Amino acid sequence: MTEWELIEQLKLKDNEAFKIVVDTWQDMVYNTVIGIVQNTEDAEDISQEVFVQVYESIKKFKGDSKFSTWIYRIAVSKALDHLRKKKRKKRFAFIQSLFGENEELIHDPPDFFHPGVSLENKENAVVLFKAISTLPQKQNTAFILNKVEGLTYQQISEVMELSEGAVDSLLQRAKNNLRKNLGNYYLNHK
Amino acid sequence: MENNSSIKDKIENALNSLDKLDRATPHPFFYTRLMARVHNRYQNKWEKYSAFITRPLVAFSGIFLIVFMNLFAAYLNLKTSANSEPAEAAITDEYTQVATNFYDLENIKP
Repeated sequence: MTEWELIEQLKLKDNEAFKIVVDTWQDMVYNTVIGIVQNTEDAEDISQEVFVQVYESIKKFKGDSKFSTWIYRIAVSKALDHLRKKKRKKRFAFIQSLFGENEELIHDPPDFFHPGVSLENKENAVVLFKAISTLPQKQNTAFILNKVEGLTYQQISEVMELSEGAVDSLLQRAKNNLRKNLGNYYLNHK
Repeated sequence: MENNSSIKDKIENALNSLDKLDRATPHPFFYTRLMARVHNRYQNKWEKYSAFITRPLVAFSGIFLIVFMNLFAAYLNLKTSANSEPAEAAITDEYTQVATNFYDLENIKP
């Protein structure tokens, strides 16, 4: 079955076509989402939401971009939405704690271990992911797509709907910010 | 000086730590869990709908709205019938004058 036949079948709500779509792109979606949200349970949950949206809004897919690019966009936007909600909750919890309504302490998120990192890089990767989480959203997304998903500048530009130049500048700024953040971290954790 | 270069090394090591990254994969039976979620979602839609409808506030508001609409319709009806009384009366009078009823038949004066 070609990609177009698959999409046409999916538009007819064919379960077999949906299974093929999920089997083909589940790793790509999960890996992208886990890189952005840095939590395995949340990543699984959001990945499921991504495929539910693919199933429900496939009729809106006009074929202007590659099908995988369209799925990437959904995955990135769902993951970023999740981060925004989490930040809002955190802020709200902080305000509540100021007024003494919430006795819970606001903890730093636990260290994130990406399941695909080799053993010798594990410690460094934990520090790097912590630094990535402090990046502005666009830089974070571009960096994750490049480093975790291994996308080229052109592919990133298609997913983020930016020019290749803009992606290049985003990645440069991301690396500079990461160097700064990592430098501060290592100075404080000698 | 030595310290600075060691920090630089650490930074570069951290930045390169994702270079030979394997793709993370979801737990097995992802599709099965996904389908369970889809089914739940559609079931929940109806459950949510029925739960919403049967909430006392919604149910009583609905009943109140229906009663109010009925009363309003009855009021409008009364108002229109009150306005159209003279015309109706005229017609009735006209018909009474012309129509012959049993009472008239039985009481024909010789």
